[in-house]
Amino acid sequence: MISLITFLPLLAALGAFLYPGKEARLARIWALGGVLASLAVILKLATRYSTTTGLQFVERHHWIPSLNIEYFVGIDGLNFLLVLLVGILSVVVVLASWEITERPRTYFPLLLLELTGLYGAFTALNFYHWFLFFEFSLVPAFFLIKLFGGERRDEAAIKFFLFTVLGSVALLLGFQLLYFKLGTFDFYKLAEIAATGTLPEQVGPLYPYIFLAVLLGLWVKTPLVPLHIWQPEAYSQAPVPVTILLSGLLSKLGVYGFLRLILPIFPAAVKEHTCLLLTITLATILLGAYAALRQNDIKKMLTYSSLNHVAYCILGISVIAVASEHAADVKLHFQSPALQGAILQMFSHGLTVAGLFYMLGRLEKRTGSRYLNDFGGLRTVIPNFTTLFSVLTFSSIGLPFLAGFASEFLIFFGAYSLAPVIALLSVLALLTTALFLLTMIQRVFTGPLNEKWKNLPDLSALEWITVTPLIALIVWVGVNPGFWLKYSELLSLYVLSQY
Amino acid sequence: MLPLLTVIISFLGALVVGLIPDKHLRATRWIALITASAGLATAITATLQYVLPQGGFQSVLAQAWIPSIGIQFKTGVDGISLTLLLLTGLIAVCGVLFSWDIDHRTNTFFAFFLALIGGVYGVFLSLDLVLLFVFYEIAIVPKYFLIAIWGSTRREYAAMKLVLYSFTSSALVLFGLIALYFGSDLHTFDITQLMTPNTYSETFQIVVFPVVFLGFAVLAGMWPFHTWAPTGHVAAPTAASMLLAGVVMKLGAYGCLRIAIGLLPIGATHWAPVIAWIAVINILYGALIALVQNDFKFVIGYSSVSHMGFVLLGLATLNATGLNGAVLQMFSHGVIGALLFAIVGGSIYRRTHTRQLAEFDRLIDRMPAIAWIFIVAGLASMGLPGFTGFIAELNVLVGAWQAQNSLHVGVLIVAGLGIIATFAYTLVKIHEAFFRRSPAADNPEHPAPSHYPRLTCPEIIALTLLIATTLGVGLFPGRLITLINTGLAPILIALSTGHVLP
Amino acid sequence: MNFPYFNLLIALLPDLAVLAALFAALGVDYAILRYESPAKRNQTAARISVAGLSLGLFILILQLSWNLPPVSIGKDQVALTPLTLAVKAFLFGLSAIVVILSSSSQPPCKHVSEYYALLLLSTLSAGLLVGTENLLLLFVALETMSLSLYALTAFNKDSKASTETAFKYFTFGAVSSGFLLFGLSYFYGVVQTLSLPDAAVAISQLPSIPPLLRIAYLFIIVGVAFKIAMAPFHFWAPDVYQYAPTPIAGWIASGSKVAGFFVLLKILFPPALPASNQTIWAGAIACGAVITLFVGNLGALRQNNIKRLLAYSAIGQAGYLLTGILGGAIQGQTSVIFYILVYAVANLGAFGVINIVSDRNGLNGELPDVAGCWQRKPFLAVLLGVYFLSLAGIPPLAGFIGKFYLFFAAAAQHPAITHWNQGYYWLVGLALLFTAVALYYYLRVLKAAFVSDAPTDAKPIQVNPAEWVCLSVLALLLIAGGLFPEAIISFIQTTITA
Repeated sequence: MISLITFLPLLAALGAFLYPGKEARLARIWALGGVLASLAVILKLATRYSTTTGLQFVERHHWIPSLNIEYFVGIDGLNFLLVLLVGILSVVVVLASWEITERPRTYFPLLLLELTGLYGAFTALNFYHWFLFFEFSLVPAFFLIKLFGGERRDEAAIKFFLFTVLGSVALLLGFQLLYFKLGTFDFYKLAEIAATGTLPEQVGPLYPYIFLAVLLGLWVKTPLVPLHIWQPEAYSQAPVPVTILLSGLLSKLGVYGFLRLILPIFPAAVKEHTCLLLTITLATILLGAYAALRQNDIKKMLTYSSLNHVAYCILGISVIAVASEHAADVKLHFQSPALQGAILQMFSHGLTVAGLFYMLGRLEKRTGSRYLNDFGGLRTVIPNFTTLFSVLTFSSIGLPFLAGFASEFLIFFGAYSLAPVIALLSVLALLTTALFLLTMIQRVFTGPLNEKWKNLPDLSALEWITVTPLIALIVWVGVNPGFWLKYSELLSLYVLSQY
Repeated sequence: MLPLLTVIISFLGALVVGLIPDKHLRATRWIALITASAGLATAITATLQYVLPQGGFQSVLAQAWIPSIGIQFKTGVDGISLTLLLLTGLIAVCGVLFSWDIDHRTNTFFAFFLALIGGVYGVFLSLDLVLLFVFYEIAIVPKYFLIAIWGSTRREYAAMKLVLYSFTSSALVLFGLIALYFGSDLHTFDITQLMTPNTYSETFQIVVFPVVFLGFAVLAGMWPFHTWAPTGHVAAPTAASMLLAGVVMKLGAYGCLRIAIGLLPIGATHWAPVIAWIAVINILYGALIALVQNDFKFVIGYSSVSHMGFVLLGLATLNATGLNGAVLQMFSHGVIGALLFAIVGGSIYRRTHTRQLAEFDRLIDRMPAIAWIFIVAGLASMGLPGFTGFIAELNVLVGAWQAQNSLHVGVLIVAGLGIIATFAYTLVKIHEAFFRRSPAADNPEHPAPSHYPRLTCPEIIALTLLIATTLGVGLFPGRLITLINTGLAPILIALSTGHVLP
Repeated sequence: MNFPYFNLLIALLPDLAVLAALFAALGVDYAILRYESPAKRNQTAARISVAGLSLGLFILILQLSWNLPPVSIGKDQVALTPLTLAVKAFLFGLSAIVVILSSSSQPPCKHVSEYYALLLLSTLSAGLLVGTENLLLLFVALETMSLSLYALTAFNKDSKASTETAFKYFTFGAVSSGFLLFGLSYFYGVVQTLSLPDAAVAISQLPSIPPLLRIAYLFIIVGVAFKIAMAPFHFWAPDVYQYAPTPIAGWIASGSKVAGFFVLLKILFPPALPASNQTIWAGAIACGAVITLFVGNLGALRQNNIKRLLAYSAIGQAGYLLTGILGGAIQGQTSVIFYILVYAVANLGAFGVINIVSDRNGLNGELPDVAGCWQRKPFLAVLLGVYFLSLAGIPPLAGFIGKFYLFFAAAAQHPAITHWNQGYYWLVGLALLFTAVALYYYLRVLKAAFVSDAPTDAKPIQVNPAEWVCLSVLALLLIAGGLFPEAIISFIQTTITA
């Protein structure tokens, strides 16, 4: 079943690419069909998902026996929400691309290939298998930026690619060494070995270097300061649907890497390097927020804001390793919300940021501009648009009863108890976020109307269809986070058992 | 006997094609294609016939040839040679398909081409040192004529350079072979007999190993003796560059593995650190030079040098994983190198009549299909997971980690830098070739056509074959790895017993 | 003791056949065809020569097939073994081919029959030289051969260069003969016998090596060095090869070279001489080999005349052969004999092609003369390719096996490579490197023949059937010798060891 999720978009990509005939726009039908089919399978799995068992829907076959490599996929609490997120956002992305007319037979297959890569990477449980899709997901993204991006797309694309590859090479070298010492690429097996606490001895003096190599790979991918410099350009140069993919999903690949590759496999190293992790996280949070504050280009602002929000996930992940004098069960009381909050934050940030970028894209489509200075008073012209945009912004700020609040609250709850100084400093960023997002709302939608825009059309049917489900989910997560948290509960306990 | 058919078929084909009068173009092409396909089919059948669990050399045919000086006609196959036979067959077929439009001295072209292939098959099959050398040299002369007659860009200089490098290195090899004969008490050229451990004394191995290894490694494109490779590959006609980069460089690597390492394991252990350093220089240097080339074919030429560095690095690890990676990389680079040369030297050049990157004007709009195929090939060449290059480089690097007792950790770091440089030049060159606007293209006298002619049928077949192979084997390398492992087993035994010798 | 005249007659029957042809050619020409056209005289003389040579060849083959035990008559004046018979047959065959190649060209000059007579005389003496173990006869045969060659070289009387060259050749030759004769007389002074087998016994019984013997060997080597174009006694070769009539140059490069090396082998390896005696001359030969390799191969690089190039290549090839001689009595001799035969075939073939392509069109054998040979006569180009690739030592041609064997033999002398101070690995290595250099200049010729286009004013190449047959036979010999060398090698080896 899981393979089906991965390969349905691939099939659709082939269909869109090879389908004969002049009607190139048919490609989008193929794309929509592909993503809906995958989403349908995901929803079917979701109904059968049991929150009381760990790994489910496993598919396991020999692949390269001589290297002990298996085709091993499955869903557990760490990746369930992410697979679901890919499913939802993929539909958004296709709908956001609905009006693409430039070379759709190149565009949609690339989009679908990208989704294949993401599904594959999120479901893989063997490093080789995972890395294959992890690397593969780079390629369509690269070409989507390069072919369909803005003015400075070439530079943005190559920067994006080279930075990520730099990380990947480090990651690969690290895991190669791990493989050579332990003879397996299997995430679960590696975690089991790590759980016995003998992993550092088995690996020997290179253990910290392996950890740093793996960390480096994810550091770039997530990204965290100072390896984030590829990100603003890539996000702002990419076409809107691709920005959604990058910010909503590709960055989650990095965070997911922390959950899957780092926490269970390198507990000793994580404990040792918590300080480093927290420092770069904090730096990212603050830098993201302050950089966003200074932007005039709304897309750039959202980009930095996204940098900041994803770093909250890493905050939630890294604080659990902070040494504290609390007793184990008390400590767990703080750790668990932080970790689960991080997982939920990935989901809610994905939903929110996708909505924001989408709406921004629609605004740009209408006006041809995305600069704060150009707008003002749009509320009177496009009230529905304003409402939906504001809801998404509020979720991003972290207003109660919206998704952002639920997850960020959990993270800060845990962080405050485990690393109060860091948490307090991060709160500064939270305030900054509120500041620039509200400023944006104010300068775009309120105040005197810029006369140029008095004839803007309000939301179209397609826009309604695209955004409403996102808003609904955001509210659902915000109102009833418990429903979503229970998916990750078991696995977070499993991970936390070593911290 | 069956594997030997590949050699016989190729030479017979060369003879027949050579005798067809020049005007029968179609007949010549078809006979060449049939010959090459028959070779491939034979190679496949031989692989299927090979009994994996039994391992070792199979289908051995031993016949006295010049017993007065101990030379046998002995052939046979093991996992390594089968892998390379398959590669040769594949490249041969694709090479013929990419030579479909050759109309200048067609019969001579295919005669030389098939003779070269016959020689290459022969090297992979030989189990006697002199016989191997004979085939090794048979392959040299056709190379010269293929480049000098049908080549481009300083073809005569390049052909001569290539041949002289090959021949000088083979002189080293011959020197080594004679020493190998007299160095053991067995007094034989029989590879299988010489592979028994403790054949050679330690001093002997340390002295002779560099000679033999260097001799073969020059043909594998080892830095600093690689300079024949880019010039030669660039000047060669498409099919010949495919064959040169794809297969002929592997002859050198094969010799390094089978003879230098297989027969002189202690020497190999002694010299491995040096080889590893040279190998990573190969990787990084090749990639960096490729980055600054302006001629598209030179980019590919230097990328070959860079990729062969991985083969050498794999050889230098001297352990199961690394050697397996080396052989896999031979196969992988064979396919991918041929693919790149086919696209750049064949498909693109045929249409644009230039290879200067500066003159390419957003080819993605003008030849989208070719551009995308090149991009896929470029990704394969970068070593993206899913293609053969990845699994091969993975094995080589894991092998290098394993060999960290003998290899410096700096080797790995340089190799990592090399990989990044590979990514860099591939992307940069893809950009320059396909996405960049060129001011030169606005020349009103020779406006570039908005659409170049479509891919022809032979091109499509050849490109599909190559891409399917790199992708298919990249995704399911299991069988090939097992096959290679059976071939490596005796070499590994020799290596492990070599270590315990005083 | 009753001298075995009948045996002698039987043994020299082939030579008598040739001798008869020699006189017949002269006689018929002078007596009957005196006033006929040169073409007819040429044809008749050539036919008679070929007939005589073929008859001799036929008798030799018969003698070979009788499988007689080795014959030795007089003081080893005529010593026939299967090997000497075979080599004689080989020389007769080559000579016949030279005759055929000469005959189809324009008659070299008015003295038609003398040309063939001299050629036959040199063949005859080369044959006698191969089949004797007597120092005196060896010298006489060598001189007879050389004198006929001097005369043949000068045959283009109208050409100043040809005359000058012949004079040079003669002067050098006379000096070298002096050296040789000195050497031989010192040798005789030490061993007190003219018979080489007896000499071997005498040397092995000497308590120590007298200095006189060393000097004798040195003089002999210097004397022979001239005949085999060993540097630094090679200066005549480039001019002679270039300016002598091309078939004669071919004969000098093949037949006379075979004879020269046989003299060297006979004196250096008298039968049953202990191997330790090699130290007497090994140093001199090794030095000569090094210089010869350098001079020949580097000299050839700059040549634009194919015949001159072949001259330098011949010097270089002498270097390989000298390397092989260091391989000792059995392996060394076998390899040298094998290679000299192969080399002679390839060289004669090369000169044959140049004769057809250049001389017949009034050209001088410059590199561009063969340009576009692939367009003008493709099969001729292929034949040229076979000869030159064999010279270069490319498998599967006989030249490869021959060179391989030479190096193998030299290395076999002191097989432990780990002992630097002894053995000839260094020389083998040097020679191998020079094979790569050599490939360069051979390829230059092949490049002209296969790659370049024919010049627009190129005259058509005419080849007559007899020439096709001759050249194809030579090429086939090279291919067969490369694919199935065992028969020849084991034949040589067994007769040497017997």
